[in-house]
Amino acid sequence: MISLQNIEKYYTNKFVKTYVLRNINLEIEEGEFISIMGPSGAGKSTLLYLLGMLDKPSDGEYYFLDEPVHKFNDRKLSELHKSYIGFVFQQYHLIEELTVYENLETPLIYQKMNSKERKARVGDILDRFNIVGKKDLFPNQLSGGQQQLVGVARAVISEPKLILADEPTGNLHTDQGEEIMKLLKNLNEKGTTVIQVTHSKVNAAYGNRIVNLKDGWIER
Amino acid sequence: MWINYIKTALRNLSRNKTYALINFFGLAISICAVILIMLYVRFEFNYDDFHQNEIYRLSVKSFQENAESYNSPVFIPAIGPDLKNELPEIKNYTRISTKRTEYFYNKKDPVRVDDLIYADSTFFEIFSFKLISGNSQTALTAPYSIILTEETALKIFGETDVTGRSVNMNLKDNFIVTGIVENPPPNSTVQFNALISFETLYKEPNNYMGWFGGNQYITYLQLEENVTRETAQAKFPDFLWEKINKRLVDYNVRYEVYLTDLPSVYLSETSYTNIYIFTGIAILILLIASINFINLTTAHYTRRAKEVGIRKVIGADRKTLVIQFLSETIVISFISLLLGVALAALLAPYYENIIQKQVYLNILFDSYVLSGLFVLFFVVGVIAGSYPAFYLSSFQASKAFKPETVKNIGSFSLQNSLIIAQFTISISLIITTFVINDQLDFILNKELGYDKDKIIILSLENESSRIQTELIKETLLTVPGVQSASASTNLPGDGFSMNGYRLQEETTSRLINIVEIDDDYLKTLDIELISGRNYNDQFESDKSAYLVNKTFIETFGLTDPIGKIVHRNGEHKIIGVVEDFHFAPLHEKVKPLILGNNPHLGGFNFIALKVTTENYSDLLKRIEAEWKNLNPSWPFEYNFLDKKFEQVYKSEEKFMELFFYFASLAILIASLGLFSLTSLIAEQRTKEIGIRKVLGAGVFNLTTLLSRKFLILVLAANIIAWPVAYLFVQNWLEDFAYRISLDLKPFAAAAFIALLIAIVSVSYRTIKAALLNPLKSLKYE
Ligand SMILES: Nc1ncnc2c1ncn2[C@@H]1O[C@H](COP(=O)(O)OP(=O)(O)O)[C@@H](O)[C@H]1O
Ligand SMILES: [Mg+2]
Repeated sequence: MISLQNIEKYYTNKFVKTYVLRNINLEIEEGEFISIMGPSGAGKSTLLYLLGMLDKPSDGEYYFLDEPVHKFNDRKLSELHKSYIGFVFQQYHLIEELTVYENLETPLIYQKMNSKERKARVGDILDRFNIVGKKDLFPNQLSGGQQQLVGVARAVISEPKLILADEPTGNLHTDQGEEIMKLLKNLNEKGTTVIQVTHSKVNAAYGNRIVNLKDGWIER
Repeated sequence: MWINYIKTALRNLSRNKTYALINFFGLAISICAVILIMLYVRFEFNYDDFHQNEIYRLSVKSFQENAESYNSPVFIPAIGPDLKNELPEIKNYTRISTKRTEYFYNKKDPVRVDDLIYADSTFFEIFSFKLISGNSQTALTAPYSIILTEETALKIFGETDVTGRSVNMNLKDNFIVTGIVENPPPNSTVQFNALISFETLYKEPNNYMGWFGGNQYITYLQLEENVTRETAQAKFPDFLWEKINKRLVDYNVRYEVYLTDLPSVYLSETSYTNIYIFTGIAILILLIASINFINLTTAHYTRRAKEVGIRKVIGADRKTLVIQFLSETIVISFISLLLGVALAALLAPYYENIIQKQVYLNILFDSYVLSGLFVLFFVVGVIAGSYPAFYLSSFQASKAFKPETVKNIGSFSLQNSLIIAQFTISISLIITTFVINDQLDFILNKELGYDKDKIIILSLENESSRIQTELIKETLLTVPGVQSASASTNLPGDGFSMNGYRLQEETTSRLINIVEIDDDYLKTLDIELISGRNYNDQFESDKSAYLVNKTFIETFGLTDPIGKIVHRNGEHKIIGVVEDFHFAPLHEKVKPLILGNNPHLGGFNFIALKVTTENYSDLLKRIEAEWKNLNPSWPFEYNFLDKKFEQVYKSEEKFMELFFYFASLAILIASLGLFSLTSLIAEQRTKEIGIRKVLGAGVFNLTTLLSRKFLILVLAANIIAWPVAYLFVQNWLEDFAYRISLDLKPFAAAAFIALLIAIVSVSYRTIKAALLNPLKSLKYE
């Protein structure tokens, strides 16, 4: 499903290149649940953004479903991104001016789905995640765990093939975290590919493969 | 999708109330100001636009030794009919007299009617004034016909259905009311309260109705079809030569006439300066408010970078985001537009009162104006929104989540230059306001060469009163509190009339200002005699003598003026010289003046009373009693010399007042903008402030840190504003013959005020932020 070949990422500051990712080679099959681990600053988030097509590699080749993503322009990237990928963040990143319902609806709006279908989809997901009672609340009226629940719901609402989660439980209590991990596991079991960044061995165990990143290199 | 955008926009606004209010308020006020100024300008540009016919007004220029000495539409009565009879190009004419004030007697008491004009029977053929009753073809045909406006009819008769009734004027002639006319619209150059048939003038043996004399009439012409103004005017020189100029060669005097089309008559006489200035202010106010809008939006949107990141992650592309942000600013702009229009409608009556003009608010709802306004604010919305929209939407999601990479757009140089621009405008306006104010003060308090205080002016409205001035003076002097009394044809303030005079050795005559006075004039007005002697009304020989002013002898180089001769209808010997006094408005230098002692047929026009008290009400009662004693039919009309003087500068004062209001508005909007900008910035830096406090920074320290940048910007604005304002006010002052010399004061004061405003608006928020408990501000993140 995903093939990274010799991916490099660097930032140029005053003509000095600072490498964040070095010579990344990675193959990911559909249906995998991968955990990326590594110390802070290793480049884990950067790798996730690259995989999510929210950032471009400085060098190397990236094939997604056999499409040469590294050759795509912004518009095509955005198109691919919104049809196949869902994102979950440590800081939840919900839109604070919108209610739970509206937050869930927004990705569907961007996919130009008609309002009837949107209603059905949002209703469905509210049901599945058990948050129907919260639908008219604003993010700051929810607990962290509830916010992350909405975050995951928003990521899966457009039925992506790939879910990218950047330390999804980093800000949560253990039991809240566990709920989120179970949710991801569940989604994975239904066929969605999941790639998560985590510091916790326990959480990493939900996955079937661990990728260790250190100073931008993948450790073998 | 739109609902989603608007929801976000509105919720965003309600979460940031200060920001939203200042944006709405600033924009709405500026829109209101722009609308009000637009209405004023539109009014000025639409003078006389209601007439159906193409009408030309005739004006005359007279030349003395080839120097232009007179330029006015007021000319002799014979030219209209002769032009029509002799030039095939002229289709029709109508003449009106200059405005008169007359008294009408229906019941016992006289009713005063101002702005009465005599008009030819063709008046309604040419002009599009509307008759309410009466026949427009014949109403002004017969002599002694009068047409009244409804108001005038009410004043005289107490009712408006008076066509066919008779009324007496000045206790002399009876007139028949032949019609009722609508009030002329406020944007008409021709204004009147009553019209009397022109034929009536021919019945009066004392009126000059030919080519020589009777300089009291304005002639309007209609040209034949296919005749242009130029072809008609080409015929005028020969025509005038035959009629008048060939007889004036010896006097070295020559007349020229020309045509002005009616719609441009008003503008050709008004200076465009005020229109330009106020249009300029409207644009500046709009600019300041737009700058606020841009700055606040930009500063505010740095806080929305995160939202951009999120939206990108969940599938928004760049175009979608640009549209979202633009639609937000356009929504703000439109709401402000509606508020501004409502505000303008609300303020219009007060505004009309200030500018003393009627603004037609309904033109706002004219589809052109409306669509123009909408386009304007669409553009403002797009411009204000586009920088943040295009800049923010270009962010990569990964960047947008890192506040430190986003933060520096709050301090980018565009924002700085906009603040400088705003304050440059504000400071220039403050300087200008000061200078205008100083100049006006200067004029109103200038040494005039006469004493305008405690002078009551009584008008001699009745012919019999004009020739009995000695009796009136004697009688009024018996009233306690009246110190001295003088009769004259005019009092200083708004200028005297001119006549042609020829000096002793010279062969040509010149136009010189003239006032006829009695021997108490100098004493009553406290005008200084610098050589020779004053008149003595007992000497019959003084009737033909002249006093002149200092400028007179200086202009004509008379080193030894006493005894010199001036010619006009005989010889006049100069018997004295008075110090210059400002008989005309201070826009011009004092001109040569003759003070004669021999009023023409009609006699004097005014009695001036120097009184000892300013408690006028009692005094006036006693004066009126004596007046009525003399002759109960004489109307008692009084005025005060200092009031008359102020009246002359009324338009300047109005200008000043309006300028002050609009300038204050501009400054208010600018400082509101600065206030909310610093609020936003202080808020963005809450964390930094908290850390610095923990590290030991004091409140003063922090306030300086946060406000230093703005103070530097305001100082920079001063440096730009000073020369700009200097050039502007210097130019404005040039219209005044007597003017203040510019010094540093208004500039320094403006700088001080601008800094004060900046400090107050900046420090409120920064001190608040600096005082915040550091723990709180750190948690805030
Ligand atoms: N926009 C950027 N410019 C420069 N350096 C960056 C940028 N984004 C990330 N980095 C650097 O890249 C490195 C990796 O960052 P990141 O992927 O966020 O690490 P992780 O998520 O593993 O903690 C860090 O050293 C960070 O400072
Ligand atoms: Mg990270």
